[in-house]
Amino acid sequence: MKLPDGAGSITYLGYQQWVSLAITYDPGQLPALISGIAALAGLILSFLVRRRRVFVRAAASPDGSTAVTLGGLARSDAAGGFDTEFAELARLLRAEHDGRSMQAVQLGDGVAEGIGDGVAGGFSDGIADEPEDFDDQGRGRIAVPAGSSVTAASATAETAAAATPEALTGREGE
Amino acid sequence: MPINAALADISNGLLLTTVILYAVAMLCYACDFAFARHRVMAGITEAEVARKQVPELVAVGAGGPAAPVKEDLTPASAAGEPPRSSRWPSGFWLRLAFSLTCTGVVLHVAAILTRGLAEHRVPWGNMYEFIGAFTCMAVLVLVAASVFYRAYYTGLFVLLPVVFGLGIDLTWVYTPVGSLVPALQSYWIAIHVTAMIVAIGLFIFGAVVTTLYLLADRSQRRLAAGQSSWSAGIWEHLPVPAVLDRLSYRAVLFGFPVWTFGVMAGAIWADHAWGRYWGWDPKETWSFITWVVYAMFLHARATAGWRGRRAGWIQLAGFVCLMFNVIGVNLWITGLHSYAGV
Repeated sequence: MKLPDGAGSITYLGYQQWVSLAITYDPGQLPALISGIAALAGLILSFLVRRRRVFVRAAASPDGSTAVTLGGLARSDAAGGFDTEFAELARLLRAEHDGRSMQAVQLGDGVAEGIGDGVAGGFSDGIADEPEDFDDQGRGRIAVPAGSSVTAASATAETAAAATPEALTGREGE
Repeated sequence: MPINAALADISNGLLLTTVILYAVAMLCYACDFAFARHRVMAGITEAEVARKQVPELVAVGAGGPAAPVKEDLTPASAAGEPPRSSRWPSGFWLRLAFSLTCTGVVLHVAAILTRGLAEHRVPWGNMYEFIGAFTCMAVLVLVAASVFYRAYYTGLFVLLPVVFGLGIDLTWVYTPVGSLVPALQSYWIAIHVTAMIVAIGLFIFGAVVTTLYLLADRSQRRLAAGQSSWSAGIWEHLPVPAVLDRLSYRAVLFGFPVWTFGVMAGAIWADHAWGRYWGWDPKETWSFITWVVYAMFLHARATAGWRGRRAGWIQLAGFVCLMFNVIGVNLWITGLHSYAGV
């Protein structure tokens, strides 16, 4: 076949069959799959597990009674609900006892330590943004939210000490 | 097998009917806001919300937002306030709106099914079908959230982008029925793309509710500061901002692992099809960016001081990345995912 303008000619000579092969050996596939599944499982698990702690302290008061202080700390309460759970815990604890006064105070988010003086502590509500409620150290403001402060009518020192861990494990174990 | 053109026409008709039903449902939701005297959610106070927390959270742990919430036996409902404890809509307009939404979503599913039957393949192989599928998922999330979280008030706001999306889908993006391009002929399309559709539906719902939260929160803060707020009248009909915040968080919490799974499934498919898991193709890169921003949102939620408003903005940033990935990457960037076609 002649090309126009004297650009030469093209002649068909026949054809050769050929094949292009790309071979890979990837022994990492199975480990990658296992790692992927593990990562996803861990991710889902981290969403399902809610980290929260409850502290109960029984201290002798000058008048001979025992003050039982309840403190709660939610490390990840992004979905909220710790307030309710804590109030319920305080209610259960109070229901167990008769005869002593009890103060329940919830600590602020990010306050890992310093349950120190019982009534101090902000609260984690997991609700709206409230940067105002936290000072530079991330410590909660000294405030007791409505519903968090429970004063039981009464509780004896003995039953308070004995019943407390039980009440705690009952709630924490869920 | 030949493509069934008659069935494809039925699918198109069904989708058009769906859009009309959604639009009418929106109108009814708006009428409910305007005319209904008693709001189901508006009267709920923070304390009541907190009281309902525990059973709801248990339900989330068991299976995400779609898990049924156990009937709350709070003092309020025990004291005889039937509309508040019922999970079904109350009031003429809301009932009508919700019925229309449900009918619409049934037709929507039927439209997708008939399309798939007409083409003898998974009906999300191009942009037209993909938009149809994830808007359907968004409405399914709306219906589930309405029933299980009594979030009927989100109806108008979720259907708004859905109707817009479907309108654009039916007019500009419309693609006639056809076979899949060879690159997509794999069973992985059923796994990877389905996961993405589910995640996008959840993220749309989350983004809409977060937008509501940010607006309501802004209005509330303005009122608290003694300033005027033009939108205060709207938010009176909605629950307190914290409830919106939590609802959108739940949607993202459920959507994020699904998205993660979708990206992983995509990587496996990529290895299968192209010989590498990850090649920084624009679609891959943007799905990673989306993943990172949503992860930032979840982390921000767990950090004091970054909750609520600021976390909400991060979520919206994640949603912008998501939408750019779904639409922008296909329109403006050429990559290995370009077959999706617009």
